[in-house]
Amino acid sequence: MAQSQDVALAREKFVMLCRDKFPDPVQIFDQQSSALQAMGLIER
Amino acid sequence: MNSCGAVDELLSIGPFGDGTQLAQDLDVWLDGLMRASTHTDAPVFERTTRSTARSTELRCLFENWPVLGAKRVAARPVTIECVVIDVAGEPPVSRGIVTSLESQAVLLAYADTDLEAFSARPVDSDDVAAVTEAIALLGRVMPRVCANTVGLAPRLVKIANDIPSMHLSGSPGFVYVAERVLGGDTWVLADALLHESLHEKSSLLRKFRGLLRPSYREATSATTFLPWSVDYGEERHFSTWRLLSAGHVYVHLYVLRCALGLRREARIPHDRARFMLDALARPEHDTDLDADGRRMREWLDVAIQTTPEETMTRRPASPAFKSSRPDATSSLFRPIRPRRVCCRRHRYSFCR
Repeated sequence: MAQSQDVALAREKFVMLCRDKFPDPVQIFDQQSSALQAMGLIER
Repeated sequence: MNSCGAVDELLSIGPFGDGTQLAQDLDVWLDGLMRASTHTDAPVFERTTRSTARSTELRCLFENWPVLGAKRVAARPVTIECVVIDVAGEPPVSRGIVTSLESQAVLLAYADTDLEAFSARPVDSDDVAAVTEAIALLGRVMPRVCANTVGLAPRLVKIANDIPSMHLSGSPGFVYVAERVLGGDTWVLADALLHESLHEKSSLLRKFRGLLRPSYREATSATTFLPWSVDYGEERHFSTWRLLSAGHVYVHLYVLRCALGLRREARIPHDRARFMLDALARPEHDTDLDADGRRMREWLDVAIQTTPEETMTRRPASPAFKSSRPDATSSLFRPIRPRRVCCRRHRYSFCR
């Protein structure tokens, strides 16, 4: 498993990757961020 | 092509009907989350490794991890058999085993309902044959909708309880069908498969389209009383999201039953879809919708009005609306409890 990443950086990366795909990528990411934190993939 | 061919096409294209686009959005979402969460710029969820199984497992992981990580409900191994559906595959229907992680999601989602203990039944060749026939029937009468919807929920679990079929949001990609439905009329099974797959589709639409205003919350949504719910022994009040999601299902079931020539059976989905779409047009619900939500309502409205069914009244008088914003002093206000009731809405009775 890769080293976990800061939530703000992860959000920024997700938005950059998906900005043209979804109407509100920030909202989509934030809906999932608690699960990603619980999984240890990202840190608050 | 039957007389519903035009509406079959309408319901399978564009931002709300195109299942291929939704599946691609799902890939982008999974890949984006994985890549954003790790220190890598390489695609984590490579196209070559994308598969229905991988996608379903990752979705179960993302949707359930906080609970999975805390509860670990399946301390001992559990084996759940399923029917695997891949409408473009050869064969399109086969037997399979639910993965360990998916099994935990299934058990957790099921435990969150008020149903009796979970009891998945083994899948046999008769079940595979029944699902194959049902999908073939859907493919004959609504080929485009079938191709754009049924494959979004590629796992069917056979259950033994009073509910004919259901979809649980905690186990994305799964539909549950009672053994008596699997052993019954082909059209009833086809109807159930379409119904539950549409719940899967609407959950993806909610995630990837701008259906509801960003500040929308179930607890503060306007609600509308469903007049027919008293026949089921419980007064039910549907939020804006539940009206849109259930209306989405009922429009499709109306079209399916018309395409099958089942005019009497088409009456209920028609009348309920009409009621829900009319309710969504009222100001108290309209303000909960975002631009895509209004477009989806209009798209469904066109579909129901253009479905050829000579014996149906186009716009029957809807039962009287009772709609309101939640208000502690209103008799219409039913607080939405946090977990059990939230999940119950995803049962078979979700639309009722």
